[in-house]
Amino acid sequence: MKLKTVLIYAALVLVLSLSLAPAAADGHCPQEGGTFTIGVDTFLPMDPNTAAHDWTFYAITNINSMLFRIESGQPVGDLAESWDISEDGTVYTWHIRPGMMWHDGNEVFPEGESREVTAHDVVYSIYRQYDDTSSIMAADLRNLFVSAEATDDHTVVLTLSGPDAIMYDKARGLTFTAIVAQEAIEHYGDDYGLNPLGSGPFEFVSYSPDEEVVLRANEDYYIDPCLDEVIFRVMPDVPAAMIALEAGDIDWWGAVTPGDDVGRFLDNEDMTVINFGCPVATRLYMSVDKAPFDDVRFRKALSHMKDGNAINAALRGPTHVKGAGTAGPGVAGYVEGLYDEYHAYDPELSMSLLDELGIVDSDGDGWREMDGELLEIPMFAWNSDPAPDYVAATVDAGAQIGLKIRPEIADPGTNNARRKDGEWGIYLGQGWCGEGGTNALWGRNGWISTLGYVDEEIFTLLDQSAQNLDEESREAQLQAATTRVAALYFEPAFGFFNIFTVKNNYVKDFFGGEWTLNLVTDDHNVWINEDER
Amino acid sequence: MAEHIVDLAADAAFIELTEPKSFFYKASQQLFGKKQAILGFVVLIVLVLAAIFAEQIAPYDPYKTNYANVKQPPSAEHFIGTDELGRDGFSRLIYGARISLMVGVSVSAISTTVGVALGAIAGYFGGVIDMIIMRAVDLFMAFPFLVLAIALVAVFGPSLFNMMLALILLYWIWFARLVRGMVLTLRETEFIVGAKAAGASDISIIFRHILPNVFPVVVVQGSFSVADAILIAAGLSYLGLGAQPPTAEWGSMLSNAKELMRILPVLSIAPGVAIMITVLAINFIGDALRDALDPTLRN
Amino acid sequence: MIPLVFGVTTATFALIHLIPGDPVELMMSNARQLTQEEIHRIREKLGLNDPLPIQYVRYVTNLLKGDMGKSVRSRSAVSYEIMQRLPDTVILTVTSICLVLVLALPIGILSALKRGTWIDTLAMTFALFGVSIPAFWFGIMLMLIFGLHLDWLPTVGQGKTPIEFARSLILPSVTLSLILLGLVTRVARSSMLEVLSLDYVRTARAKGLGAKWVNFRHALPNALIPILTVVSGQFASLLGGAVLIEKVFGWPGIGRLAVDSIFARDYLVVTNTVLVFAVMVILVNLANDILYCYIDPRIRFQ
Repeated sequence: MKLKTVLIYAALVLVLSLSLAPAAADGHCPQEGGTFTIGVDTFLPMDPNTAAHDWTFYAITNINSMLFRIESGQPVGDLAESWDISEDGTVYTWHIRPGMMWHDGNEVFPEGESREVTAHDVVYSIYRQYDDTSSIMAADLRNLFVSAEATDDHTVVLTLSGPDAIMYDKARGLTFTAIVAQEAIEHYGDDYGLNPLGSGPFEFVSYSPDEEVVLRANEDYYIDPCLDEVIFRVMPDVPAAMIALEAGDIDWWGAVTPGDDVGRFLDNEDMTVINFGCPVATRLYMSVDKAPFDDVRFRKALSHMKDGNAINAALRGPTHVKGAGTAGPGVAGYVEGLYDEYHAYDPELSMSLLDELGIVDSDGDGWREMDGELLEIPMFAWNSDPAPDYVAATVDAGAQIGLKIRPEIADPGTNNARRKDGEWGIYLGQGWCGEGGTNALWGRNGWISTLGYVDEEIFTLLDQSAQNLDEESREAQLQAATTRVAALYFEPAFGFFNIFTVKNNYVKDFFGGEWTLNLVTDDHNVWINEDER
Repeated sequence: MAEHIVDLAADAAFIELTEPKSFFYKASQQLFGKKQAILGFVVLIVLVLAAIFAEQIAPYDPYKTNYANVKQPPSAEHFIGTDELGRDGFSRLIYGARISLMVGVSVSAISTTVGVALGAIAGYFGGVIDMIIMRAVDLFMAFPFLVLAIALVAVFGPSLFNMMLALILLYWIWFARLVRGMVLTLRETEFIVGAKAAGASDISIIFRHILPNVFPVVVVQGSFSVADAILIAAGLSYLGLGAQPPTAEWGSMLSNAKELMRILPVLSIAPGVAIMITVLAINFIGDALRDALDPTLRN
Repeated sequence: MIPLVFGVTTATFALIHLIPGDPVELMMSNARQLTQEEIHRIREKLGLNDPLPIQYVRYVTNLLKGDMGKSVRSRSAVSYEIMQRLPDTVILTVTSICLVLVLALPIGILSALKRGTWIDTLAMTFALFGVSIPAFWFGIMLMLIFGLHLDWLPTVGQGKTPIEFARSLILPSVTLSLILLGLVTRVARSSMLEVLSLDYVRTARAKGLGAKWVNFRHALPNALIPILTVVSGQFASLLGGAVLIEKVFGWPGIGRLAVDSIFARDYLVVTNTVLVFAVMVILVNLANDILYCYIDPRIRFQ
């Protein structure tokens, strides 16, 4: 071989190895150390029984091991290396990863005196959630739960009374069960949430309410974390947090990013915008058990009077996605074309429907009356952006067809109370994504049941889908339910928006969080490139 | 909050008993002899005119959405750009003057009237009425002002009217306390003791002797509380507790522009500057009024 | 004092429960979607389904035992939540008051001494600007300028090291001091003017003592009394004013806790926070009275 050829090969090998280096995940970090600072808008104590808040759960899922994690919508092993499900879907056998140790060097386990995490700890953790009736364990899992047993130190058998198809859904099911140590719970008592202890990739260091939480790398973890430290910094004011993100005071904004800022970050070469993976819908609810909302034609008029897609596009900017339903594109139960069929902008149609209902402007003041009286509909919404804008847009749309809509905007608590009391009017609705969301919203005893939403056919379809392990027919059931919601004009829709999170580019090998925040797994090991900072 | 009011409560002791006629004379002398006061008046008149003739002045309908024209930077068509619904920021700013002035003036006027009435009754008659009113005053004063205001608005349900109601509930206290203190002093003065001896009724003493003497201080107080109420109302609206969107109000415009702050900072800057100018103008006038009354400044 | 504290507590308890809304439902976030059934179960466990009088009696009994109860939102002890934030609010408030005194006293006194000159006009216009700017808006503007465009100071949160902490304290405390700056400048000026017109100062001057000496030896201490009264009287309003500023700057203080808890319907946190506010205000007033006697021996407790 000639020297030149050798050099070319050598150069090729060098280039190849350099380009592969950052991707190498076998316990090797391109750059060791570093602090990853995450901005969040709220943070609460870290007891998995009570932490109903997403960003708090991000910390829990790094302190505590989970049975499994969600990655790109699919469950992947964590404390459970693997698991088997019986054919009828009622018995889960979890195989626990051997050699996982509880964090040491704390009040419960002094340095070097830790013990292995066993199947008994898993059973303890599941029962701790089940026995505490005020825990956040999902109702459907609670209702199906029969028993959890450790058959040996590394095997847990979970028995259900029926199959649970949403076991892995990020908002429902077992995703809530972080594995805790009985010793720690007993030692700290009610203060466990202030001193969480687990077996995850990061150890708890300190917690200052409304300020920050500090975690440091667990050197005994089966994968060596590249990061030294993870800090959650609480920033209640979103615009201020956006400034901090741009200034590099925080590395990742974990909370939902408003539309306008995403547009700005998409243009910023130093930032990466990450899709949270579950498009969220904005829609209207109504007190459907009261006139005139009990008439499907009136609901239809409300749906077609507004240019939902244009409003959504204006208010959500680049995060906007056209469509309708609880499940957005890429999520189980999504039906394409629902928006065009049931929610398209057609004020002429709305006006003729209102005329047909006898809701007409008989005194010539420009506003329509019902039964001889001015029909003035309150529109309830919460007071943070962009809800008031949706109200303004709806009020404006109503005015165009002579329908008087009166804004009633209050803080979320008051707004919820109005919905709970079933007050007469229309409500702005937002949130709820994915399969679990469809169930918890439109299902039996769903979140908006107080407004009189009753439809046996939808309830039955959702009940069936929640226990149907066959993906194809479950998808069909979900789609049928979603289509029926649209056809009954239960949810005059504006459209979806994607939840985006934004990170600085110097954060590497990071793909975002979906309920569990996976910083150190078999496939990812987040590191910070200090040279780019 | 309500800082001027404590400030002036201290001044109440300096007030000399004066005939109302001479008060107006001196006040007008002072007011028009001072550049700041004239500036304040001119700005305020411009604002009031803008509020009254908003329909004629504003180039666009402040509520008209235009989805094809959102988030426009300032231009010849839109002086301070358009917001996320394509509404003209400048037009909304002009309409906003209405709400701010209305809130400031009505909160001040109503709470002054209520406070003066209750304070005069408490101070003049004393006894149980006085005790009840003063206990209420003590109780209110122990609360952090803004926290109480927020809680009250939350109880009533957020709306422009309820926010004004909450502010009135909090402001009358200050006037009552101030007027009571003054009446206590006045009650013992020779001419009132004399009037009583001459057989004048309580009502006539209150209306003919006490209120005219309290009046000058209350006018100054009132003018400062207009300014104060506008500021606090803006803060409450910023928290989403004031005017109901889509109402064009400066505080809620600020809150609304938060999201656009880095793209269109002018939408955040303009309502803040508008609030500042309005409050400053009112304070200039109040300041001149106070100078007219403060004996330490009078030669 | 005790009836007052009791009154404040009872009024707050009643007031906060009058606000419609459910704390459990408000805990729900984007991903965690609770059904009505789950919400009811959590409420039952937390005792929120009990009649209000029973909840009130429970609260007062526990309070007398020194237990403030638990937060619904965080499920930790209310006393812990408050004690974690109290020092931060005190630091912010005290720094702001110091800033106010450092700035307002010289300006106010100077403008009294130079009364009627352009210095006086300038100082008083400056003071008026101070009370005419919405403080929360001013804070956001400072943040935009010094945090983002110039990148001199951190925008939100608290620094960890002493230097970082001091740096992060600058913007919020400057913003908060704005609330008092105008007022204190004016009081400083008018009380100095008043003292200068008093007989004994005139006498001292007539005796031929130097103007500077008279100003600083005789006039200043007496002028300080009303200033002190105003500053301590405004302590409460500063705590209240800190609410919005703590929120804008992400400062982990007690004012923000109170407001967040109102919106979260975290009943016991609100009640106890207001209780702490009230006690602090009362204590400051008491300290003020004592200090008053010390400065001016003519005043004695009755």
